[in-house]
Amino acid sequence: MALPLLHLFLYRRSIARESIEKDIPRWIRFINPSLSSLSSDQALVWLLNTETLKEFRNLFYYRIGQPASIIDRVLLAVAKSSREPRNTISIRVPSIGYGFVIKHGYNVIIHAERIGVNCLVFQDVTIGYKTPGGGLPVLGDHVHVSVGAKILGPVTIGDYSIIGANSVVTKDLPPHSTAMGVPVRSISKAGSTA
Amino acid sequence: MIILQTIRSFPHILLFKRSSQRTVIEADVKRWVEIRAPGRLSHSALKNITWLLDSFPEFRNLFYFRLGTYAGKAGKLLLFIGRILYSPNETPAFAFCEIGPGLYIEFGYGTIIGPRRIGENCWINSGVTIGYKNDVDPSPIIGNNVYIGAGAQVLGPITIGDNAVIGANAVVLRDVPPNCMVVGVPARIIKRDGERVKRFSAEA
Repeated sequence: MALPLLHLFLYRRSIARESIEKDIPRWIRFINPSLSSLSSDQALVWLLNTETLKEFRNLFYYRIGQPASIIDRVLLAVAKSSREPRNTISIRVPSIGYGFVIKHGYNVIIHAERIGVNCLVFQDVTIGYKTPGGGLPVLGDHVHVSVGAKILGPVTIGDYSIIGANSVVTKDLPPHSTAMGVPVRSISKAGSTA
Repeated sequence: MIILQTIRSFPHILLFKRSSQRTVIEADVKRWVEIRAPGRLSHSALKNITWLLDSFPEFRNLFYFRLGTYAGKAGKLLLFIGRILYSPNETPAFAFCEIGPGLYIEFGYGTIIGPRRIGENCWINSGVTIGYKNDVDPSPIIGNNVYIGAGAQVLGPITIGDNAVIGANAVVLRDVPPNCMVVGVPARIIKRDGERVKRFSAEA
């Protein structure tokens, strides 16, 4: 398989290099732990070349962003056409912390105010506004958003929260909470056992 | 850039001009522009179609659905070329049904639209399924100005009234009266004519 040399070049020049560097080991841990002995660059090449992991490309292009120089923009366009991202993911967030993982990126819409470090998002998840033009959610660090969960409106999700499958979150959640249901309710909080 | 867009959308503009669905498509374009970029409302319909086709793959799906019944060999050839130049997403997928003007689709990844009829100015989000509950009963009828939230499922021979709001991840299996908001699995009414309804007083 051809080396994604353009991607490596853009990655090394990018200001988001540190974030991508910290994303890679988490993706490897979730997707294929047997590759954990690879170096960072080797793992990046593997992730970009794997056709079933197009969602990593979405995150990669999000991190790279829109380069300032025209030459870099052309290079990015060429790079994108050789490793196409998945067309069922939409990411529109001012800042996502390092270690962000999307598993099975089908129908994933992430429009948030801010997302903390080491968050995990599964398929069919929508994070966005409740009414057009309304506020957007804020996710803390280490938040786990399960399959089909919807986080809508200007809510704040505390650190280390777990949001159960198919739940709808329209209220704030405190840190360390586990919540599920439509509408969502906490089933465990910090210091208590579920 | 604009020259390239004009060349790419040339077959679409021709099809639009010759289509019998022209007024319906014009209403769609107006609605999409109103929601996505109100500043463009003063532009001409053709300019806006070019912009929408270029920016929103889900608009292409809707556009090709509207043109779907267009007959004639020249039309089919144009449609074939158009689909190569601006290829649609796999979803939203439309069944053969009657859909009123002004339908807006927000993203539409994994959205299946298979009702008997949809009214005017509806809003459908991503992950929505409108369709059969079993292989005997027909599919739903949806009124005007209905909002269907992300991941909701509307199934079976039911009627959704005008101005209804269906919350995210709701599973709707019974009729919804007009001006109501329903949420939950199975869906229950939480708001009627803008007033909150107590939990077990009324079933959807």
